[in-house]
Amino acid sequence: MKESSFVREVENRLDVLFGIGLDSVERGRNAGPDPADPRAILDGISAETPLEAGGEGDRAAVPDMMNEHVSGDAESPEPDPGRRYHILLEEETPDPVPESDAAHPCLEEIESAPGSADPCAVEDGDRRFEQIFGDIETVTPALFSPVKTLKSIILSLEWEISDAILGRLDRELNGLQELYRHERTVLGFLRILRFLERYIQVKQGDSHTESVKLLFSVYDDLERVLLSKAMAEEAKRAVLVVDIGKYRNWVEKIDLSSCTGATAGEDRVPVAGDSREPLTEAVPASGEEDVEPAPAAGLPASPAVTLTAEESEAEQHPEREEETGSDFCEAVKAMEPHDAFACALEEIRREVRKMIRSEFEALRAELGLGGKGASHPGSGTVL
Amino acid sequence: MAFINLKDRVIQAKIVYYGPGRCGKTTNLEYIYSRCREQINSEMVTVKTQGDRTLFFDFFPFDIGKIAGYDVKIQLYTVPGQVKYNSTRRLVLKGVDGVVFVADSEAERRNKNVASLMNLQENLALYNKNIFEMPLVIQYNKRDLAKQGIEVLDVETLDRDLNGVLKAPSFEASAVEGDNVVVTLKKIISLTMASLEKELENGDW
Amino acid sequence: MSLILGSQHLDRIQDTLQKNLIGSGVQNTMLIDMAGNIIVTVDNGQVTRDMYSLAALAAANFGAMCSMARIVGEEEFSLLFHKGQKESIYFSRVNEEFLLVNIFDNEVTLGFLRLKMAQVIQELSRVLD
Repeated sequence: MKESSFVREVENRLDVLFGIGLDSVERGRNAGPDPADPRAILDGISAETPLEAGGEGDRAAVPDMMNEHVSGDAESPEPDPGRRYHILLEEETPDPVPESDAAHPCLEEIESAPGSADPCAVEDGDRRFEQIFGDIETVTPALFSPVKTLKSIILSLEWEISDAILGRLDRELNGLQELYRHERTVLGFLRILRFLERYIQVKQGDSHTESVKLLFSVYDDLERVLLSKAMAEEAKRAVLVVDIGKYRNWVEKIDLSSCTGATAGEDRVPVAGDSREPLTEAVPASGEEDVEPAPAAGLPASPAVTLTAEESEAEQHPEREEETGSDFCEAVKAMEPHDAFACALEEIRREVRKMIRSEFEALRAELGLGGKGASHPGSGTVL
Repeated sequence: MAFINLKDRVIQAKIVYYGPGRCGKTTNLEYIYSRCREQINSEMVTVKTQGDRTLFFDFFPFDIGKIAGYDVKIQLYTVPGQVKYNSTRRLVLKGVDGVVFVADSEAERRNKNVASLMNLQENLALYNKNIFEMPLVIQYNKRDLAKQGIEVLDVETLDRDLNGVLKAPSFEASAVEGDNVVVTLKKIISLTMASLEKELENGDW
Repeated sequence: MSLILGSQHLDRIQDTLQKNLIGSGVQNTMLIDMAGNIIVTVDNGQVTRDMYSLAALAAANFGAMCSMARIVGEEEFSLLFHKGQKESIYFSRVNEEFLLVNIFDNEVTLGFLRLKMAQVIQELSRVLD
């Protein structure tokens, strides 16, 4: 077969690489290290080691031979079964037990022996127990608290973010909001979690990277606040305010101009001069925006419900909704902590209204187009 | 399946060293690695048992360099030869572009050579590849055993057993001593590149 | 049979991976075929790795997992993920021939990456099919 120039060039390159075609001196120089002859090594080993049973060489050789024998593809001569047997026997022979230890003391003797309740021994035992099982005093009480289910859902989200799990999270947050309806601090955390959950549910693969991290971080703070017996109410609020700050930073980061399906909504929410972009948040299906799920029926008027009443007013007077980020921050700095907290909650509430309005409009537009929004993984499995 | 990256001008092809257990596939690769490791800045990857038998594969990315404006990278693999590792051999054969069949010249291993070649044919067929159309070189390894007084088959017998129908290029070799290891490699790379060129000309992609 | 990809295809693949994965915090991502050839590899510029060896091992690893799934009676296992102390590797099948291998640190959660992956796979499939 006639060789092409490409193939000839490949061959020439290989010749250069391996020094083929050079004289013997050059070849010697180019040659790599002298390759070891494994057979010579093996022969050397078998020549050196005694062949009688129990020799060190036999012990080294037996595992290989046994492997081959077990595999059914032995490529060396069958090992001497007698020799192997002898090795096994030797390994199985236990050391003789000293007579002094042969008789174990009975329980009564142990109990009656002086120093049997040695406190040091007890401490050592406790320490050893802790080494094995961990300090049980600090075992997470989350497992025994009302956030147990929430914790397991959050842990599931670390592995997989799917509609089913986000749905469970939504339901659980609803339930917890009902349970803690009189605790404003806890409610604050739950609301942030809920916003994040809905954002991720709507945005799916387009979710900002920080959204998931913020979700986990807020949950961790919620758990800490809920389960800490010693934390004062002010301290808990302080933690919430920090999380509100993180949440606001995150809102500022997310770029809604690239959101699919949100553009129609954005047009309806004038935010001139407002550095904060309206958050996209999942909107309940069009027939449900005025209805809260049953477990939360006892909640005070939800943002969705109040929206329908106030929506027309807000649309007519959008300027009342506007408040620049910097104005808000300045105002909050000047307030007492509890006032700042209440103000922050009110701000969240206002933002939720805006979010839901914009998302509702976007959803209307999408449905009008007859297309789907961002693709989502369905069951969550990827392959 | 060879891959040609027109943007970065890279050609990648896969060559697999195949043969019965302990025939010298890994030794071939180790020799190639030792000969060119200073010029080629890659490491050899081996996945093997504690007993130094190939468990999964040995791998060496062999970068020939720029040829006709293309970076030619040959991925050299060996397969585990033991009979029980057939599933693994099949996995490694996926996407193969060229095969070196390493036969053991020892007389006792005659049947194993034939069985291994048939096994290669079967495994290639699973990927709709025909052994008769695959770039293939046969290496009759361990010719050095004769010097140690171990009975080796003569080349005519080996050729009759393994190459009577295939008519593939064949070389006597001793991987342990490095004889004809590079020549074998050169031949299979040439055949593989030629086959690739022919495919491109015929539009078979 | 060979696979040939031109600049246009490769650029689109690279952009998709850069935007969706590297942009989300993944350190290294590479698209490989089941034979272990690297089609495209993108990283965040902060790490250097032997991607060729990794590709060969990744393809073999994935292939082994598929074989094990069949033996067990499953069509496939949907998750192949190795968790390390600082870095982890996540494998995603794009289609019958291609595999996406992602290396990421603890800043990125697996759940989030899997969420992103559905979109990435859709985009890649459009280029590769």
